[in-house]
Amino acid sequence: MSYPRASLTGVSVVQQYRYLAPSTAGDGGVDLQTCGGPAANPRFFAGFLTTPAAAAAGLLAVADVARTRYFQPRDPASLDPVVTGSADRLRFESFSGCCGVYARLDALPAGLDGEVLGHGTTNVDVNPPLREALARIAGLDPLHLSVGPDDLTASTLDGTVVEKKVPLPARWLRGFAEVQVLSAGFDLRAELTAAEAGAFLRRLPGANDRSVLWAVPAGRSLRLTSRPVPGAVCLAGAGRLAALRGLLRHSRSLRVYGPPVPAGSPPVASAWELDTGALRLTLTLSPEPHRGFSGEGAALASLAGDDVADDAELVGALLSWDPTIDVADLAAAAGLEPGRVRAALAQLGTAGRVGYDVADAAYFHRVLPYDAARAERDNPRLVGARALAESGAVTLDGSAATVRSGDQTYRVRRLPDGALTCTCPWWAKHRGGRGPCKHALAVTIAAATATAGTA
Amino acid sequence: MTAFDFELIRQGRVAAVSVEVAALDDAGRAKTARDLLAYVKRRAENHWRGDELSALAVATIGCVPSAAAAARILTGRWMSPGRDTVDAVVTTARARGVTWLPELVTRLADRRPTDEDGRLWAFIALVLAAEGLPAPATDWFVLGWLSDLGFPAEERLRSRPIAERLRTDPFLDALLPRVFTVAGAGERLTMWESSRPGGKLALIQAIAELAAEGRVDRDMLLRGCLGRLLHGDRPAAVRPLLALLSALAPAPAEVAAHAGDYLRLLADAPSPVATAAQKALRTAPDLDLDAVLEASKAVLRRPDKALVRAQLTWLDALARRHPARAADVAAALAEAADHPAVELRERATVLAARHGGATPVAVVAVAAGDDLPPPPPPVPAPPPITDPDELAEEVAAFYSGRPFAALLPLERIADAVVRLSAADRPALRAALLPVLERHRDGMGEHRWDPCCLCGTFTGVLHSATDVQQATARRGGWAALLAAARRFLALGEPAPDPRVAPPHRLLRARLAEIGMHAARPDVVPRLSGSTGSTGSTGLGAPAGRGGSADLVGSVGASAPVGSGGSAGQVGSIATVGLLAAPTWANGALDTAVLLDRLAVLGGHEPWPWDFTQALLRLPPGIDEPSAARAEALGTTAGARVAAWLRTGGLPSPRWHVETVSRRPRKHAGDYEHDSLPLLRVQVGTSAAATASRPPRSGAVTTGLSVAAPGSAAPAARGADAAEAESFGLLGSALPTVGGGTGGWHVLWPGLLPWHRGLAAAHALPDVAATADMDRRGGAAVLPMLAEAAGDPGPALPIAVAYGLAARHEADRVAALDALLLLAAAGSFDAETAGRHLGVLAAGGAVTPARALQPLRDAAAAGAPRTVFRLLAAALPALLAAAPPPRGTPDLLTLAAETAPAAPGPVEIPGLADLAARRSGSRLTAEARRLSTALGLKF
Repeated sequence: MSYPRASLTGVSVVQQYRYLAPSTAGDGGVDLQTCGGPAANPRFFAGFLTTPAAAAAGLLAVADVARTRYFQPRDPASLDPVVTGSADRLRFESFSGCCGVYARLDALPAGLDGEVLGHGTTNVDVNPPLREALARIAGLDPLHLSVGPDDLTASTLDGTVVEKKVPLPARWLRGFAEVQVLSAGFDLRAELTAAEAGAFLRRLPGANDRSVLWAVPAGRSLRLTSRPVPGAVCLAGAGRLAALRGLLRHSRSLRVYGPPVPAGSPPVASAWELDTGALRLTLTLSPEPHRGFSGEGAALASLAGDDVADDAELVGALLSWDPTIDVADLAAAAGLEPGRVRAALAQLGTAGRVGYDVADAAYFHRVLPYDAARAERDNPRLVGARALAESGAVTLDGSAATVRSGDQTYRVRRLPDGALTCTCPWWAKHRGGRGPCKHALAVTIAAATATAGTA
Repeated sequence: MTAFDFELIRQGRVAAVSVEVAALDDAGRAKTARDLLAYVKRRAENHWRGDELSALAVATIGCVPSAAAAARILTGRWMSPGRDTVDAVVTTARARGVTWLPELVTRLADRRPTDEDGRLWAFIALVLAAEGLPAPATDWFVLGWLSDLGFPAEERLRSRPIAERLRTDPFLDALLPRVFTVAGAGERLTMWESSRPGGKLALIQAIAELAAEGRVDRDMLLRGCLGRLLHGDRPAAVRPLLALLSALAPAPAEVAAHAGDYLRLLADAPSPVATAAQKALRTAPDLDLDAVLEASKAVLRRPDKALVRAQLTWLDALARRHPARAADVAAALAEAADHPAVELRERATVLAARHGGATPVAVVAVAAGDDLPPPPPPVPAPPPITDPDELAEEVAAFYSGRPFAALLPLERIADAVVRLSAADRPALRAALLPVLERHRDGMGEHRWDPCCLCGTFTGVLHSATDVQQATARRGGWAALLAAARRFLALGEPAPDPRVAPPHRLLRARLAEIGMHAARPDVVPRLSGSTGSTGSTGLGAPAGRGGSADLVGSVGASAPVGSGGSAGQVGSIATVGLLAAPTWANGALDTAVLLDRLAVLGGHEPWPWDFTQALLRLPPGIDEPSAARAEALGTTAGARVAAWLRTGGLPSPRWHVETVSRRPRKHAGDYEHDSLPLLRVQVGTSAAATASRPPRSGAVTTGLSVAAPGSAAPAARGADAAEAESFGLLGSALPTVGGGTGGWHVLWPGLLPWHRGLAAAHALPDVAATADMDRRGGAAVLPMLAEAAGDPGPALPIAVAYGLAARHEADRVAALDALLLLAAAGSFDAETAGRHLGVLAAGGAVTPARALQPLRDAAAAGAPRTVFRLLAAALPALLAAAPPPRGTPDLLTLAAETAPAAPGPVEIPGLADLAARRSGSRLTAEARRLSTALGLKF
């Protein structure tokens, strides 16, 4: 009898939640409890949900993603979603336990009737009774919503305090950062009416299907296609879209986003967004069900130069919880070119300090209540690359390099466009689709060191 | 103080350990506790169970100071405490007066995510029961509890009725509510064995019995069930919950009390749950009509036809019961007016009109004709590989993915290997060897597979990097080339018809590269007319002197044997393979080939490479290029000129044959059962009559003797002219049931202008996706659609098979091919439809599978093509008795696409069926199609 307890890569630390009371929902309204972030138990919102049934379905979807492992489902993951109070909206975000699905519910100004009391990002308590109660919310009358403890809860510190300790794998944090970088390259590929969206989603294979499908716009809907063609969207592990089902009947449209794909492209990530007019629910899927966003390596491509880090510090200080970040305004305020501001925002994205909204095609200010920057620094691929570079395993020759790792020899080439290629099996499999490999990173580091040494 | 004797643990002497531990003083216990931890670490690989584990547990509980310390010892990877450990633990704990046993149990329960064999569950449960402690909060403990109820770990309990056991279960009150909160717990509510009273539902019935007695809270069960169903779970976990719900048999008043939950289930839950909810709701009194109408709108948009039909009936009844609200009900009914199922649309329209609703607008008629985007332009092949490191990357990529899944990487690697090996073999070796070493596994030949190229390809790579390897493999290459000459050039019947001629050609080309890697200094040449059979230059190049015949060579004589240095200017080694395609679909521009030949000068091309190059040229007579080829003044140039003037590979004659299943050979002939009842095959023969007797095989009648056109020089003789067709026309058909297992995807790129021929060879693999439920074979269809030339009958037949494939990916590939072909105007929908009809009527394929791809094709802008295909398929389907499953749906689709028909259409058998007095769906749909076609019945 064996119980494999594979340690997930990277450092696992324990995340400690301390809520003043459990979150509740019912006819009296939805009271979500918070902890961490700008304060111990910050209060972001008090007011009404204009579309309570839809909002409940959306919240449930975010909570479902947070507790699901789509790949190799074992015990449910148990990290709580986070909520961001921006100037005029609330954004609920979660990440699946397998790191392959990112969900975000944006409660837009039309969906909220009330006041955003505070800004920042914090954890939200989700518990089984709350989930059940959310599933029962129906009706069309506005429902009260509070995010954060009210004075009553805060003052009566009796025995209702909820404390949870859950492991916080570093890969979960890395995934949170990677998905922002990847979605910044997405474009709108298709928009379907709710009826067409329902028909399309219903015909997709079920939860056990791990295949990679491609869909292209055809008529008013999408049709599946056997091969990636320009304009196609990748749909890997279609069962992972199950969380959309609940909100589907409240929705007006389904929008699909993805990066540009050439013919014969390897699988890529995609984003699926339901819009009810008052709410937007976006699910971002990793390129393949077994691939977590944590290993996508998109953030590694911009292995930070010092100037980008400095820009990022400057730009980060100027962010002020705007619902969307306007690059031109920010460039003017920072006195930087827009291009440098974008690079700085991408850098902030890898540190978990901004998120990306494909619907607005813009970053938004959000600071994860975790130390996300550390996770990226400790990326196993980067750690391995540093070790290789430091041990002198890299021999540079012109535009190519030889990397010796153990008893294996790899060749790394620099292409005219600056990208690096390698002869290792990992690179051969993904061909740059998951960022640079360890050897290419080692060459980058060694080359930078060599340049610094000669300068 | 005496030291603890660990040998007692190894021997599993529980009582002795107990005595020894009891005799220890405090210091002795502390020391033993430390030693125990070191001891289990030392024996980390031991499988701890039985007396050995009991002895360890006694020592641990007897010595360690806390639960944490005990857990450190007892939660190792191979620790398996079970029922047999309980006594030791409980007795020792009582004897020592340990208070932390509950904590230890919690720690053990938290330590593991699952408990497959129930041992740990039984251990924990018995310790808890002995000490009268509550159940731990772990999810798997709930699952283990349910499993144990079904099959108790305590044998004496197994014979007792389940309800009786449940009534006295210590965990009942704590764990029963949790059954509804633990994901997947519902699955364990059904029993594995059905022989005992109550069968598989024994536990569910027992729970209902206890609810009826008032032993458990009935409302808790109802709420729990509904809550879990609302929340959703795996289908296997949902079914038992539905069974529990039906065993509880909620009264109409109870349903009304939970109406909100039921309505949510009706609107959103999976089909079986929604159906059950609908049934329950229809019995409930005094439902809020607004809530029902609100939910109805969601229900009527669902694809489940039976559910929607029942909902329409319910709404109809509601409208009669509440005449004042009829208009509201009618508005809700109108929601189904654009349902995908046409019969539901009609029913909804009728009912809405009956209750005074506005008649919804009819569905927009299909536009006449097809409206498809133009087919994408051909894609150029990627540039050739120029750098050994780049080649190493490509080789690594080739082996990291699925090797031989596409032709283009193979062609690029082969071309680069030839050039780079000649340019600098040591550099190539340095770059390639680490990659070849890394991917050594799985590079060998798979001898059971007659098509396998793995060993051949690996051999080419090794030969190109290492002269010694190349020399060692010469014999193998020569044998392969000799075989190629026999089966391709001389037209002897091939030993295994599964290996299609284009595949043999590919193998010959690889062997040729390998052979030249061994003798880089010998450049063979194409002979002129020698008149002697078998020395036409298509054979082994390094064979006898005959193949080094210089007759007809023009210009500089070939450089011969100038030592080890290879890569003389102008040779194939510097030009690269002549056949290297310029387009991604495998095609080669004539001008590019002529440029390559010009650089080649007097050097002779490699025969199989040259052959493949000719086959990749655009067909048809091309006089300007022929003149340019002739002006090169080389033998090769003359050959190209002749090829271009005759128009290339002659058009074959097609033979479409429908083969019935072979008879059963013997009682244990299991292969027979997997064979299709009917199989359509396409054979080919040369257009000109053959002078040879027919070859073996079901259909083939012979092979080409003379290429059409007068330009073929008579001097070449019958054999040489026959070689023009390279054995590609008129090869023997494989027996039904074979298939290549995926190699066929390489063939469209070998015959880029002759896709009909490639399709004929690939047809068995494609057909097997539909009639033998194989996976992946239809992936070749879009490639064939992107190739060029006469599709012949094989391509539309292959598409028909692909549309009815077992797996979605194959059907989608067929759909892609259909749309590409239809957009280019080269899809023979009648042939596809006719064969689909015949095969479906004969029980060889399932026509219902073709519905979704055909629907998609119509929606994507090809309604006319879909209609033509269906119109050709229906006569055979309608003539079958009874028409196969799915025929009514195809009739519906035909009716929906009929407005796009090119003109008046008559479908034999339709009028008779439509005129039949029957209420069946088939007749109704036939009438609908007749109406759409404007026929009277």
